[in-house]
Amino acid sequence: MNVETSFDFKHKFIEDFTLFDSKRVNNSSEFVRNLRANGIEQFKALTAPNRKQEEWKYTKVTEIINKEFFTYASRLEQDKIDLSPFLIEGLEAHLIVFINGRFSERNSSDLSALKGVQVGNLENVLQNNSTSVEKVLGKVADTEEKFFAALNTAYFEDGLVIQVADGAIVDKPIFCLCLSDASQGNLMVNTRNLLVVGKNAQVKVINANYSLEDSAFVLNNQVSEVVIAADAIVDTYKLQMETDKSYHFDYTQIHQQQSSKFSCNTITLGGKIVRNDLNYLLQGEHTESFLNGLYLTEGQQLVDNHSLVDHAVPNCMSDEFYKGIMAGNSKAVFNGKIMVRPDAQKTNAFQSNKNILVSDNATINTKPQLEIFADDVRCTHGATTGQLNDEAMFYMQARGISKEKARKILLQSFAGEVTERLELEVMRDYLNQVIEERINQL
Amino acid sequence: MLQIKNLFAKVEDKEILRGINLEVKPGEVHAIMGPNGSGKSTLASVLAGKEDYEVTQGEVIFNGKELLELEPEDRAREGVFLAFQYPIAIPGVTISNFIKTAINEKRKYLGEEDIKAVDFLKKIKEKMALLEIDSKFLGRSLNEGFSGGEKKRNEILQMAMLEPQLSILDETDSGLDIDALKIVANGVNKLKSDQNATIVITHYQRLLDYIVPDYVHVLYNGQIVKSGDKSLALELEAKGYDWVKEEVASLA
Repeated sequence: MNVETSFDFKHKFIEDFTLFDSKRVNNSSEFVRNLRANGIEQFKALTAPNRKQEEWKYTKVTEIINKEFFTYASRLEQDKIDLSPFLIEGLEAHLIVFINGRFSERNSSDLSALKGVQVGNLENVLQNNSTSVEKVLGKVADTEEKFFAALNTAYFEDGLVIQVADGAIVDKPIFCLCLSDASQGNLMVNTRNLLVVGKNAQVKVINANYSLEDSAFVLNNQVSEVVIAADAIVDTYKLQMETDKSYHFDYTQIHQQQSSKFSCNTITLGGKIVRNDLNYLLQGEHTESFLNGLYLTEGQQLVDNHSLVDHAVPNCMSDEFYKGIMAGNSKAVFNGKIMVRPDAQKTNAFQSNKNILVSDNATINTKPQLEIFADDVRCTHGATTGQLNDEAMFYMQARGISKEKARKILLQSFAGEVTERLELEVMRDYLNQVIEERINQL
Repeated sequence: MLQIKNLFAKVEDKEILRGINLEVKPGEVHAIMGPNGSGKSTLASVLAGKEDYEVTQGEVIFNGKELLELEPEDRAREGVFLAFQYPIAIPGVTISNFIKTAINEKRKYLGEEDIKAVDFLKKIKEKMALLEIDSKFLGRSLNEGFSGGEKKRNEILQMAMLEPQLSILDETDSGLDIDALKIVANGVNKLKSDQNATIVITHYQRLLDYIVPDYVHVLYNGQIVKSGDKSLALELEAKGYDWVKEEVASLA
């Protein structure tokens, strides 16, 4: 651990901030400037993640904070890009594209006249209709103790904004494609996303991340603030598919109001270092919360899934189901915290994390963390880590299936237990295929 | 078809099979009986190729080939089938896909094309009717949450679909009630021909009322100590195994 270099990373962004902020004075509201100023103050007060911090015990970021990243916005968003490698066959969706964190109108669908939902980019919303998002932006995410998220608050410029009206059922999923282009050098992208869903509304949102060009490194630093009103049903997907020249940080904070249902499905197949912080705050009773995750890692990848489900009120149900297959020298971390506050009687909370190591050099650190302060609750959790089941392998071989094929079938069926939980059928089919290809290469 | 010659096998330094000799010809049904721990299931596992067992002596010839030299999957493709005493659950793999994969792996080995989807479906429906299996069964995950009877019927369904030359039924009757036992036995009997052979491993005689053996062998202490026809099974049922043990002791 080199303390001096971590100081450099921090120092650079503190130094650069004055210039960054002053360049944007004319285009920014007081609200945004205050938010940024608050972000940089939080960032100043924080130490870069290191392994002495409990939350970063197994996730080393030295190689990230040793690198210099620029925050300039490439003009590439003007180019028309062949998106076919990133699209999902059979998926009919409203497409919105961001390149290096900036909205690319040319590559997006026409989003101007959607029924019951406004889909746009944050920069534009802040300039034209700032009040609609001021109740959410910076109010939901708690970045005070989050180094990268605080940096995002200081440096964000753009992001995806979805506002669904009360009672609206959005006709097609919203597919947000985030592409990175590092052709001009190491790049840090700070995307700020907002998802605000009105009462009794329904929407599905996909956030897919890919590397377009990876001659240098990209630090994809996203913060999402999500507010789900009463009785709304929302299904979201995060596809983390970048190359191993990408570092991906995602902090998503969800506020769920009564009788709403929210699912977040996090699928991580790419990225050199990926850290997800997925936090739910259950504010109203009778909510249902789903957290599904699948990570397939190889080479030198590190994927860290942290989650928090905060049962602040009674009668809520949460179900967390994460599975991982680790190959090569890769590492994975799972840390799932379930908090049941003293008032949160009749809480039903489930958590499961299962892992298969297909290489002797791969590792997993899994830690369920239950903090229960109510007495009438039902919480179950379990974590398993193992190799492929020898008995199952032999059973298949005894039916004439080769060892190699048996292994693939077992890994696919293992991963399939996550994909079968996904509600979007085309997504399920697409991912099963991608997973099959990946497993065939392991 | 099958010749087992002076077969010795051990697991973790414990010798379990101590010189088994057995010949099985096409069209025959052999029953292997014996008290618990006599080595019945070990014999089945060794023939199927389970890695935990180490063969220390002897050979097994199957249709002219050294069976013990083959990988488990190649033994299956050559026509050996083991119906497991405890079939393994594999969540996420449907019965239908599993059987289809197994058939196609065998076909590939034999240089044949994959089975056509229609032909597969037609065949599996036919075999399911034979075993009185509901069609919903096909979409279920392999052995997951199956009752004992369902697991055993699923084993025989796989056998029916793979059409092995030599089937080894390892305690297929354990945990089956009489109705399920009759269905399973009926299935096995209908699959019998003068081209294939069956080895029935069982602790009790009851299954042999329905699958009638040509030969009955008693396995004790890792050796076949007595062979006879089906009347031997009845004698064992009436008198237990003690008299066999005593006979062996007096010969030693």
